[in-house]
Amino acid sequence: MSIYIKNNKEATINRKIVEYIKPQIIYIPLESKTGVTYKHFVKEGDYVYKGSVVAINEDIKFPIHSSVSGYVIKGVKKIMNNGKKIKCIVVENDFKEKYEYKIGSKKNINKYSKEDFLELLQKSGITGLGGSDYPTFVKYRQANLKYLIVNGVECEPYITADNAIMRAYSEEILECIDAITEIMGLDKAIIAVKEDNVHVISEFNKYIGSYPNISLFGMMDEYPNGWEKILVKEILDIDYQKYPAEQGVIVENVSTIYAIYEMLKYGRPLTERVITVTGCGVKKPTNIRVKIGASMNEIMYMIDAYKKLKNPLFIAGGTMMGNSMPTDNVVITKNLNGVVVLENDNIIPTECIHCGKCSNICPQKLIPVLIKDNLNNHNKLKDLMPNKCIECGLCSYICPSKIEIREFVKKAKEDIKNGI
Amino acid sequence: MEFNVKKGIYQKTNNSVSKMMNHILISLIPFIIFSFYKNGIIPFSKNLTDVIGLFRPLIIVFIAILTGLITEYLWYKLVYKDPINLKSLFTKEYAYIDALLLSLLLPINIPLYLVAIATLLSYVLARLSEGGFTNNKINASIFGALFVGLICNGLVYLNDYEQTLYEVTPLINLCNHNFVGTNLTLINEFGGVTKFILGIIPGFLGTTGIILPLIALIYLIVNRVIKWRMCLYYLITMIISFLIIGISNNMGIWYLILNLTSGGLLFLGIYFSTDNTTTVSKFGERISGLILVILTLIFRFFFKTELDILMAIITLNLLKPLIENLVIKFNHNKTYQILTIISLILIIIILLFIILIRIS
Repeated sequence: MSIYIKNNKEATINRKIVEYIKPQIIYIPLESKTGVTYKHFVKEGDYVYKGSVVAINEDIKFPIHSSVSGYVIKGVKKIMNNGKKIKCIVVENDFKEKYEYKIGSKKNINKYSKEDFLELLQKSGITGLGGSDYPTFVKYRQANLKYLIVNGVECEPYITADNAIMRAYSEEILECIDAITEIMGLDKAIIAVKEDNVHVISEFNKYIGSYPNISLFGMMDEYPNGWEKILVKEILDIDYQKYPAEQGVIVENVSTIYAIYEMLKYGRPLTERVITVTGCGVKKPTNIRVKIGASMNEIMYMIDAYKKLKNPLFIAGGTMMGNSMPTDNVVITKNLNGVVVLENDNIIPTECIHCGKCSNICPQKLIPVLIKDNLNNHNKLKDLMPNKCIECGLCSYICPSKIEIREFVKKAKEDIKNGI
Repeated sequence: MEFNVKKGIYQKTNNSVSKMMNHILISLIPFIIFSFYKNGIIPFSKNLTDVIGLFRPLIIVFIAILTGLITEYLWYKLVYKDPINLKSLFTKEYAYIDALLLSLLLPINIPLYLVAIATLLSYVLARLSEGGFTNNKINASIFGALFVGLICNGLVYLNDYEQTLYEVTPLINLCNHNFVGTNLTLINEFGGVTKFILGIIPGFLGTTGIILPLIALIYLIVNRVIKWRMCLYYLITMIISFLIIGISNNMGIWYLILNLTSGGLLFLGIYFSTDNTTTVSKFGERISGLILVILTLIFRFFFKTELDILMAIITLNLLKPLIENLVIKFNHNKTYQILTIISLILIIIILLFIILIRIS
């Protein structure tokens, strides 16, 4: 189930990407959103190059890199976009952008073997830039992969980072998709975009004729049409239980594809990304390329971002799945796709009227109102399966009583997970 | 820079409870006007009632709403010890809605003091004692209407003009004929099919007819106010059931119209099968609609009472915890959902079979 919600993208949808890639300090968190922890092997005083590995997850041998060259200074705990304070390696930028080894460029990025491609993916530290933060190489290791769906739908309101990437780099994206398809021996690739996104479609149409194995698919401008499960069902008419790879499908965010392009073309690890800075509290909403690890407050200061608001909210992410932060001193992680500054509406929720709208709208066919009512009844809670919740926020969105139902479902999820 | 923190999502629909309640109120206004016309203007124009009688339908509505507001105000003040102002009674508790619906389910000749008593009791016992708006387990207006119907046996659901023409309501007439008859005995007796469609027949204060309820149904569905699956499953299954009974006994489409417009079936099927006292979720709405069909058939064809739909809905309210358990258990199991629906349909078929045997 998906519905139209106001996407509020007008302010940035046509904005070109600007750059702010000279942060004073970068912070490299030693834990990711998905709970993957990293063991660092640099210490205070060490010199690191841009793209050097500074920490690694021992279990899956997945590294993280410094996005600048400079000296490691004392580590601190910093707030991430999920609200958690995580210990970080701190590097003071020397602004030299020095790589340890000379980086060239590969003419034909299709000429990688599958093993080399997988190894490069792993070594480059590429994760899902659409918000999952999931190590990308793990997806490609699955057997019997047949289809690649590139997710350019970007259904999250306000955020236009993916859109900006597609408009600026459509040719490169197509080249990369073609390379992945050939390297991995996939049958076909489909780029999913919003059917009314004429600018992006026309950009792709300029070059797509050269790629017979790649097609475009227009999705309706509804939320959450960028969700993997909906994409796979709409495009390929395939259902799956947990992961699309079960049915031979990879779904990849378009920004991730661009990161893979840079990896294949230049051998660069993931060190930068595009984010959207927008909202009624921002003077000049924009799409901005930033260093991963930079602090948002520095970016906001450099672009003189803020308008005066009475009671502003700083939201890391979009308005449906983002998190309100107590400060703008938030680290830009790989999965942060934007920030939205809005006036707090201070809506007070009223009593639930059991209208059932939340259960009718849930894309996972949950019954959020009954989950809320049975938070203390763990037998019923297990039958209600709150663990299937994808936290899209539609239940909270549609509630006429303005109850934050998703928070109840998240609590139930947490309780089930902790075996309470 | 520091910011406030707010958990949740940061973009909400424009819809609200107050908008939904406003839609319900708007959809009820035609029924109030119609009840005034049918039970006030028509008898007055025939010189069968005085000026008080002319405005009696509106007086009943007014007394019910006033009693409801006062009861709720006093309850908040004396029981909750948390005084509530008039604005909140309207905009937060919507204390007028149950009273308004109750008033439309009363007989026109109900003593005015009884309107107040019925409203008071329904509010205290069915609404406020459970925690007020949205917390009640059974529908307060149905409770009040049932109280009046059961306790006050002498009351007839005919206005002063109708009492000069008929002795009973079409539904009681139908029951007296053991649910089988001819156009002449069941329809023309009350002035013809057009009167049934328009609602100018004896019954509850403002619930007769087909046109107004259908307009209300469309209005409420378009404005996404009601649980439309429950409503449509109920109404469509009832229509099919009445058609089967009618056709099996050589009765035409008039039989369907007669049954739909009797006992406030259409009105109640729209307004009361869809409030907070009924189950949520698509599966829950479907089975609630079908269970209400079963209950309606039982109360109509076996109990033979004007209050059949009221009893059916109250029973459905009481069954809600059981229905909800079923919904929770089967929510992620499509096979069991389909089996449940098929089972309910089979029960309906068996019931129809028994009814057909009884009435033939």
